[in-house]
Amino acid sequence: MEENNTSTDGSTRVRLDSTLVGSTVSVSPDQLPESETCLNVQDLSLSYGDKIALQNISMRIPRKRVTALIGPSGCGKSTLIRCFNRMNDLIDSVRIEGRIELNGLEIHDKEVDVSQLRRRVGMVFQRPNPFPKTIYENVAYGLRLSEKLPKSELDDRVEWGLKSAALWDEVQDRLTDSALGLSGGQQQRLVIARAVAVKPSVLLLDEPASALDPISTLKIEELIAQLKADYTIVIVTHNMQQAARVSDYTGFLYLGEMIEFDSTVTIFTNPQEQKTEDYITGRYG
Amino acid sequence: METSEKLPQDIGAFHRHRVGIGSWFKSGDPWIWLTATAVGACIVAVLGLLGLIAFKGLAHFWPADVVTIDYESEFGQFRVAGEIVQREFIGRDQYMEASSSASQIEGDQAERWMLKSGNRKIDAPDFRWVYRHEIVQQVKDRDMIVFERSEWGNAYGTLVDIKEQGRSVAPDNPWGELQDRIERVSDLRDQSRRIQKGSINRINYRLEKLRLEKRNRELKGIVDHSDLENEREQLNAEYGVEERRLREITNQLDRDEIEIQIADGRVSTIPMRNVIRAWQPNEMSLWSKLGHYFSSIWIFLSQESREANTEGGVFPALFGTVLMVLLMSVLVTPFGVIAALYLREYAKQGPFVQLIRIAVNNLAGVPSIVYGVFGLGFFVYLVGGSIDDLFFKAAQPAPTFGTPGLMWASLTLALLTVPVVIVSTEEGLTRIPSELREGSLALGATKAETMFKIILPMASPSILTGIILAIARAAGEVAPLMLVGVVKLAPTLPIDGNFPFLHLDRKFMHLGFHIYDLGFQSPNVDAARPLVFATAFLLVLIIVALNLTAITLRNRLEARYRGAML
Amino acid sequence: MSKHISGEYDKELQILQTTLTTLGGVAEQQLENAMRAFLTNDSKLAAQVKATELQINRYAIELDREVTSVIARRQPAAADLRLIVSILKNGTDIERVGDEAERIAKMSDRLSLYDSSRPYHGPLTELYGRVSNALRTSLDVYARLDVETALQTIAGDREVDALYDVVVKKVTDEMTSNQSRLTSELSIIWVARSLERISDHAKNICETVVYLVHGQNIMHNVL
Repeated sequence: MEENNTSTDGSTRVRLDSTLVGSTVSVSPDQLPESETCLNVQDLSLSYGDKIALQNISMRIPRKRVTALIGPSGCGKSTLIRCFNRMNDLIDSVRIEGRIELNGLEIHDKEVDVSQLRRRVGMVFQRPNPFPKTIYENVAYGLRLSEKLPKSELDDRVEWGLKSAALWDEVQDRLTDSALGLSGGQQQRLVIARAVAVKPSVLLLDEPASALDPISTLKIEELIAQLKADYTIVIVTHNMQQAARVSDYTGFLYLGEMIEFDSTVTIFTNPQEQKTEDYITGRYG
Repeated sequence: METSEKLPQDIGAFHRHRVGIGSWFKSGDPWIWLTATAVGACIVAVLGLLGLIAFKGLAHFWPADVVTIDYESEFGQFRVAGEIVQREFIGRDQYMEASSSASQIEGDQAERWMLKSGNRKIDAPDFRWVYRHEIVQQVKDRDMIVFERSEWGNAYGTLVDIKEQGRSVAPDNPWGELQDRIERVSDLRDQSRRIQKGSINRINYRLEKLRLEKRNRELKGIVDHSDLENEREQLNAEYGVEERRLREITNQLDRDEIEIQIADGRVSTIPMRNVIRAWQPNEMSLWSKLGHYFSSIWIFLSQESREANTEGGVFPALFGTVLMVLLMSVLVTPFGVIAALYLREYAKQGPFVQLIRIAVNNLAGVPSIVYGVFGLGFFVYLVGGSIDDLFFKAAQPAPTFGTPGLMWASLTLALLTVPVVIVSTEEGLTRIPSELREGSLALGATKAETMFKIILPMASPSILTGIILAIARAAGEVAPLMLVGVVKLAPTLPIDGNFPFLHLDRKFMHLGFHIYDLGFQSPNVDAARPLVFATAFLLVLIIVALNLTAITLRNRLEARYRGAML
Repeated sequence: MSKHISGEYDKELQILQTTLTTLGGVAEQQLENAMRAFLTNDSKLAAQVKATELQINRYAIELDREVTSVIARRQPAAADLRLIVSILKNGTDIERVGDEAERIAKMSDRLSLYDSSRPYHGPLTELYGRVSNALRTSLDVYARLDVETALQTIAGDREVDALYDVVVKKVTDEMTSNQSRLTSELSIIWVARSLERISDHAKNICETVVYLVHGQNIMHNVL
């Protein structure tokens, strides 16, 4: 009871300790211990034919934190995020050099099954892309691929997924309706539920809110804040304020290079690189 | 304040000052008129075509009144009875060629009627022209009866007597008696047909099987086939029984005869077994005429043809057409879809794939008769011949699959229409947003899983569109079919009660070919002409029905996937 | 620093800077007038200072409003964010300088007997000189973002504090020996106190300049 900071008259005592500003991380990711790193990118370069998309990118993405990637269009931020679940493998002329370790395991190894990797590294895209199936089937899609669950367990997992994505209350009465009948924001949360249902360790969000209205955007951002407790989240966004709101760490990419990667607070108040400063404050580069 | 004063003048500057041809062209209206006219012309052409075919075809089934006409020509005085099937005017010159005395007509034209007087084998000819100005008298005899005969077409006359085994019956109610006896022969005919098509056909089929089995054993060097002999004996015995039953029915059929008096007064005897229907058109009310009309249409749809296709129905051709189109669809869909999937999903897009695509498109433009020749050379002789050599040695030298048949016709048409399915399916695959593919792959699905669970269901409306186009093309083709399986008269349907029920090796009849046969190969052009129209109309209806079914199905699927498409 | 892509944004920031600079200039003038009124016993000048103070307050309110509007509409980040925060803080400090100047002017009303022969006269004048200098320098430093001078000025605040202590000591000595002029001598302390406060504000402005340039908050830290 002594620890309870609510006094008997109901008013809240203000405690000026570290928790007052504890939600903001200001430690540079490079200073984090190895065990805190989820994705370790080393000297990653990527090119499509003659066009170089990424150059010598090295970064350590911390576990169970939100890492935002920002930068102007065509800077390679989407390309980079797509490296993490090897979505770039689908492009014919792509060439990748360097290493990406997921929890210490090189994802380009021959032994790595791409399907398995993608189950561990879920991805949500810019445009909500629910399958033209029922809401239930959308969430069960990934589960049916990977695990042969009995019906009741499948039901539980679908419910859990929808609850994780804060969508359960809205759709529990119409699970058998087509997912295409949902609003844009609901569709995007359904897609997140679909990705979460297979229990990945990393969630990649590629501009997840850029096609949504402000309220839906806020709901997605709130969801990201909740999911951060269990997942390492990497989000690509062209909305700097969004990056500032949701992320703990921010990386600024420019012309395929990682200009600066630091805690979000540092990037948005006192960036060390002039290019970052110019981009963030909206100046001519 | 200055601007507000100026404003109305400024607006005035936008008004059109001159109204002339030049400004009318500038306004763009001529273009709208031109395009609208083109569309209008198309609609008129299509509706006119359908209207003409429908009218000419459907009018054939109407029980027209029978008129008895007295006319006097240079050859003497005649009386003739029949249905007026056509009225036309001919010029003086044309009339002069047909008749030597032109003095009788007034003006430059002569009106003539074509009379379907029937009575072939009694009174020739069964169609004749009568000049209007030569007509002396024209009456509608209420007693005039039309007899539909199983051979030689209709007979027109009044009933004189009904005879049973040569003796006159002299009934109180001759019309009622006639209908009763027609019904009796109709029942007997049905029995007879059942025996022929049913048990006798089955016995024959088994006998043929036995013969082939025996031949097979001989080819293998087995000489003992006493068991087969036993079975054959048994079948022969069964055959004898059926044959006796059949002969008995035939005897009964021959029991009655009728005597009729035709228009010119002659009396003729018609065996009752030949009478299919009899009606008194001049006596019938509108309702009974309607009833007769629809039963005629039903007979047309459900009966086999007689008299070199000029009488009876088109059921075998209808059946053959639909079956062939369905088989074609079943064959073309997997081919086309798989090819399109490879081209769009797996093949590395480049000049080579582009070349294949162009080739596929060009394939759609190859004349269909070329496909017919290819089908005959490749499918029938090469593939069919090889199948015969491998599996049907016993039947040789008679070919089984090495001869035109249903399977080869369907395959040839499938080949003919596969480009359409490929192009349409590819189009559908292109329209599926890449986000959905990526969404599926990002959940750990393999390419194949994505294909079967996401891509194919979403492409199904486009696949159906391809099938619709394929059906529309295939159902109308005649030329290649003549080479690979369609015949004028097929003895049996490709589906029957004998195992394996669907006989892909059989030849079949087809509405398109039926039309060609009626129109160009018929010995009796006048009798065949209305059937050409009726059959053509039926063919159009079939294609429309098949298309509508597929379109409904596609629309339903499309509604399901609409929100996910681009 | 290069221009923003949005020219309007640049203009708005420019307006804020100009407003702040004007405010600084007025505050500086106020301090000088107030001290002159106090030292020369000029009640007319004192009244003018009080009138101008109202103007300063209006200016300060206007500045706050502008700053809020820029934050709401532009969501400044990084250097812009620091600039806006600096303007807000400096605005407050300058407005307080104005308040202190008014207080000094009020003292001159109450005290018509400032006597240059008094022993604390010298130290007070020196205190005023230093504070006035510190204020001018701090505003100058802010305009030129001169971190070097800013740090020197911050260090100079300690000397001001020491001088203030000297003035207070001398005045209290006087008060114990001669109790007839208690009121006026108390006013001297108030004036000295105000000057000391103004010096603190000048120091704050200098610290803000360091934050603005380096992004580091050095307030309350011993350098």
